[in-house]
Amino acid sequence: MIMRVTVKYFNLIKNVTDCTEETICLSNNSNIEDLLNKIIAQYGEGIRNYLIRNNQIRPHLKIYVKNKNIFINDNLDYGLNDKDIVYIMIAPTGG
Amino acid sequence: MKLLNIDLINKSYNYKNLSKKSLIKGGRALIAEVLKESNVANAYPLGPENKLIICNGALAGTGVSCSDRLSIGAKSPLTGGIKESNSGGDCARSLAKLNLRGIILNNKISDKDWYILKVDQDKIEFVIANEYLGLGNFEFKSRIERKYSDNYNLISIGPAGENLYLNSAIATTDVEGRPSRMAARGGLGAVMASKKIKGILINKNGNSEIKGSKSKGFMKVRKEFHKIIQENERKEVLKLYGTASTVMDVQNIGALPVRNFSAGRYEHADNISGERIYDIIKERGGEGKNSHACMRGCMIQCSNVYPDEKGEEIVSPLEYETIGLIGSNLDISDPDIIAQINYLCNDFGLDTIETGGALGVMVEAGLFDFGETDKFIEAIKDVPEGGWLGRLIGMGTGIAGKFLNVRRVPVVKNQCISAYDPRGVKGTGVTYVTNPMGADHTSGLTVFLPIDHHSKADQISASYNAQIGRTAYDSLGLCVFLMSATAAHPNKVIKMLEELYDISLSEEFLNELGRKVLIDEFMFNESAGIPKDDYNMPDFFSKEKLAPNDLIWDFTETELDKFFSKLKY
Repeated sequence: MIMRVTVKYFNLIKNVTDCTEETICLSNNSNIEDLLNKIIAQYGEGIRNYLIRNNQIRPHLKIYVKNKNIFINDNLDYGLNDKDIVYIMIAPTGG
Repeated sequence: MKLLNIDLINKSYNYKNLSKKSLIKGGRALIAEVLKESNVANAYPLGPENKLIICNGALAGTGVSCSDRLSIGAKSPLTGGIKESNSGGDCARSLAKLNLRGIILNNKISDKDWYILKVDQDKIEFVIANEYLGLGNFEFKSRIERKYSDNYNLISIGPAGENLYLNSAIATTDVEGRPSRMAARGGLGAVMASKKIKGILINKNGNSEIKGSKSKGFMKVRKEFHKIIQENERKEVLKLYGTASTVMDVQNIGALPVRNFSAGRYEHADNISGERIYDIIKERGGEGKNSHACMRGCMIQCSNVYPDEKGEEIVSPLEYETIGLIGSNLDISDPDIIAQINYLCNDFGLDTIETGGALGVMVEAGLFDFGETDKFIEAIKDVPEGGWLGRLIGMGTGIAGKFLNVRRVPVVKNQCISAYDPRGVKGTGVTYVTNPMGADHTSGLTVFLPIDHHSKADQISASYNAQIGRTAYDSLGLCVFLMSATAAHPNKVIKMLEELYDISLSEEFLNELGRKVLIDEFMFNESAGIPKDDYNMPDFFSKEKLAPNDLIWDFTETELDKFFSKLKY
């Protein structure tokens, strides 16, 4: 079974992907780590540095799923579901 | 380095040489100390007893990136407590090059005329300013430039200040001379107007140097400091997308101010996002710039220049707080309109946060509907005219709410809440109610921290640490946008100060500085009748659930008391 996840990219991440939004197909029971690996495979190592270092999501990265920044909740093993919308950005510094 | 004391009654002045011990005292620390020691806590803020203090920080004019913030402070007519508001621009550097740490305006002009203070190396001049009364900041700056060429930076007030409105800012000029770097909060424009000072000219061409600024030791550590900034990835977000990049983060958290703080998500957030504004500026070209330095030598360059469809500048900068309070809070989703209103506010000398808040409660009272941009603009244009709509905006969110008998008035200590709903970014809510300045995010913003902003857990510590760090930076004239890069390296700031002034500081200097200044400010407020534990958050934040996450403001007084346990005060 395949699930489809909508990924929305912001700020510096959007600059690498050169698109604001896309649908990515993943196998069932995939988690955030699987999604990030797929994004890295698609866009090359240039994007890896923004996303992961030492097997951890970069501290300045924000990944929102279902109204929550999942970095502070479940980290890389956060499970995804079909039709989830995932928002990925480098944390800004406020106004 | 000297402090310039001006007695406006006698039009006299003197210079006080700073002792070695006082050389590093500037910005918010200097303001707190002067106000606390001058016994003005019980004074009428718009009377002669109040002081207006304008100062730079210890690193100003030394070529350290982002070290030229200008602090302006007084007893606030808006909050009744102490106020320090700081801006970028070129004035702080110019003061340093005149060998000045700051200027203190005492008393008020007693004759019928208004004045400009012209500050040159070792002398000042009082110039009658009556011909400039009523002018907006931009026309005023333009006429000053015609008269004095490009030799002066300008600190000025617009009609909002002249009318003694509590929502009145002080404008300072940026590197290109725009009077658009605003010390916006707290009604300081009215304090300057109460002294009958329309503008202060600061000679740009001073040549004073701090002796240590050319030393090898200082230059070495400055280079190391700059390397830390250069290598920080978040600097790039600010450089390309500016503070507007915060829109989609806060939208996802669910804490944008939407229609007078009635929801946390805005259905048109994409239209006003940093990403959209970046694309518009890039597509339109012309005078537009996505990266722009408001201070000389700034490596972050988070400012921008927002152009119209012809590529001609509408406003510089267009920033997050304005987008939040004028945009989503009023249901304006067109960045061009937000930019136009931003320009009007800069020209009239209004705080965009307070203006957006006031218009929000005016909608709540039924005077307009959300999204009625033409009526909003018409009402703002009434500010210099002194009509009743203009007066309501001019007196700020709290007074507009009281006058119109509105229940949902988003203020703390009578100051409009910034563009982070306290129910959704609880740590910043803690800052609103525990800091001495009222609802001011700049005192301790927590939104960028990797914590759960919806939970109460860890928020007191987050706010405390943010307040201590930001107070220290504000006291040294350092831009808080450095902090994502340099907050983890306090030793570099300390070492720069040591090399520059040939002094020795403790490893805990920044924490000690932040704590001392906060305590000085709380002591001032207590003398002014504002207890430190005045935690009053408007009740609708506790009673209405914030969509889409159903959050309320739910801190108890006992929980908030822990802030003062940490402060040991």
